[in-house]
Amino acid sequence: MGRKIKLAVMAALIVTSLAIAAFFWLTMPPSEYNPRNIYYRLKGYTVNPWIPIPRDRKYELSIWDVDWPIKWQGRYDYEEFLENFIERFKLRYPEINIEVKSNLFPLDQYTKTVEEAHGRGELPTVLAGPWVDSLLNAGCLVPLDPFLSRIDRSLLNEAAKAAVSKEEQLCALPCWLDIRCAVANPALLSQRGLDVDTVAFHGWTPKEFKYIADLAVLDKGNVESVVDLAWTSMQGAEELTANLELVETLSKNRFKGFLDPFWQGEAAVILPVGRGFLRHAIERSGIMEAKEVSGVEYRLVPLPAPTAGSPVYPARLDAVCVPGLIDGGDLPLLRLACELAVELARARSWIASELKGVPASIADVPGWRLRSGIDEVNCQFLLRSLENLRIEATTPSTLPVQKRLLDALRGELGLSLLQGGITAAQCVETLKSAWYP
Amino acid sequence: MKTKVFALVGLAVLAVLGGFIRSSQHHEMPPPLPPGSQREVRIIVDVSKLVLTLQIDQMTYKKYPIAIGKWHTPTPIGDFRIAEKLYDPGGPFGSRWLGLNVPWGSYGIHGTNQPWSIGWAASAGCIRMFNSDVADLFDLVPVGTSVSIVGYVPQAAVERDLKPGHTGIDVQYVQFRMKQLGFDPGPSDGYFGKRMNAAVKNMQCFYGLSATGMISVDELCILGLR
Repeated sequence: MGRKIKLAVMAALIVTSLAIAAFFWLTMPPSEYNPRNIYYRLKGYTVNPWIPIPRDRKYELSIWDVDWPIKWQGRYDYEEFLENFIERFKLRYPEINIEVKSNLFPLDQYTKTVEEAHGRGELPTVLAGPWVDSLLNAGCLVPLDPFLSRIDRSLLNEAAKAAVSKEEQLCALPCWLDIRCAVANPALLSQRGLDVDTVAFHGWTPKEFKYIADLAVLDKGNVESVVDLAWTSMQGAEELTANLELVETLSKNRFKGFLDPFWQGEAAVILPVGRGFLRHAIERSGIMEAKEVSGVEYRLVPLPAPTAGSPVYPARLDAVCVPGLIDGGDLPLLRLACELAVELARARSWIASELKGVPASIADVPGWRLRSGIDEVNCQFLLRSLENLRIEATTPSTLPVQKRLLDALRGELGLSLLQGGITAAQCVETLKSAWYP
Repeated sequence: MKTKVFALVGLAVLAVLGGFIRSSQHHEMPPPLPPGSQREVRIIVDVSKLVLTLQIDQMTYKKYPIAIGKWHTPTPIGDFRIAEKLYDPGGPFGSRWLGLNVPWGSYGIHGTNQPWSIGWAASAGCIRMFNSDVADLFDLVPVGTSVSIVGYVPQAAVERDLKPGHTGIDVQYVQFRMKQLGFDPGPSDGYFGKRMNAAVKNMQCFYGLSATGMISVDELCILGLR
């Protein structure tokens, strides 16, 4: 009996000491010996929220972003929004000397600027904007998992998460997606015996695909059109050839421009379009209403693919990431940069509704539906497309050959095809060197 | 007798009020700008209020009453600069001429031989001032001074493709629309320069058009001008 009591007392003592130790460790301030710091370091996350931040020095952070042409709360431009955000972020650390500088670039120069800076080793501490895939492959991004809750991570779109992850570590925080699709005039489609709802749900049948060339227009100077169409048909050589033949046919159409023929009711389909078209269409609707003129109805539909099956939606990604050298990097500075990046990604969620992109986190979808001004039918189309996205990025799901094909098409080759310099057959012949290097 | 007294009192009250209003419009005169001065001098002309405001270092120093263009010969709206200064041009231009770099015509700020027209839309598009006022302004503003003429944005038909080097009121209208959409083509001066070219490319990239840097039918659709 006495032995049993002794054992019970000892067990109680051990449990109590363990509970006290656990409580002590869990409430420990960030330090080298904080158990959660040790845990994350063992898991390979050198930068985590339990790294101590010495107060006896200055921390200089820099943000690069795009100078988005949007008004925050309808009043302030994007630069003012960012300044406001920086001030609020600094208030979180009143005892730490933090300086944050922001640099905004025009959208057309952003990717090039980032890639050049990467080449020179002069990247900022926080990058926000169109996702630059090469940074992930270079392995210079700080994983952000320790700075996000499990719930936050689970709310992110799976395709977007896969595009920014390396070895199951989230190396950037996706903000929103630019889903590439086509836009159709339901009345003109109906004249050809096509039902826009069927096309929107099930995509183009192989039969419909054959005469879409008579209905559609595309931007003859924009090589990204070829890339988007190629990206929907990567299942095999035949599919790719069929889509390139479609580009060849469309490059010979008689229309001047491609938005104008659509709004004049001459062209039934524009391919491909993205968030830019949606913003333009919404702005145009406002102008038409003010002029009391009835506009052309528009419906988003999938890009044509020559084979039957679930439609595939190419997408581009906007994300926030922290470039930094993990080995030998300035850990306290990187911790602050990661915290800034996570806060910035949350604060930037309103951009999706302004730019008419689709939020990458489900948590942002209700607000986006209310604010974006996109009508319900097109909104549902965009949300449905999230289930079958194909983000152009070198992830484990992307074969290197596909990436090589897209890179080849993005250059002079795609432009020659668009401008009638070469035929689809010649283009495919050239691409074979990318297929079988 | 009573009528004369009332008339005199009335005139005296009007004179006092007039003096008060005039003195409230005149702020303390800035000291003359020394040669090579780094002060930022700017002229803002508000055609709806018929007032020319002189700003030095972003502070309002003086306001002058003006006359502007008639409805069928409107004063150009936009951001221009003083391109030339002429002393005593005479005739309808009065005592001084400050020529603006408006690319589609000869417009300027000048004096007048019809001082009663000040306060009205009476000119052929230039900005008329009292001779004493324009002489005063003449000494304070160097060539190159920024002149922003604000008011109702004129609408213009854009019936041609626009590319770098083009000038005209249609270019200026495109500049106004681009600013409204959040793209910065630089000053709304009616000149399609490098900065506007870069802004057009940025706009094309944003809306998913090929980045040609030129304004064609699709860009006009985007701007709501077609």
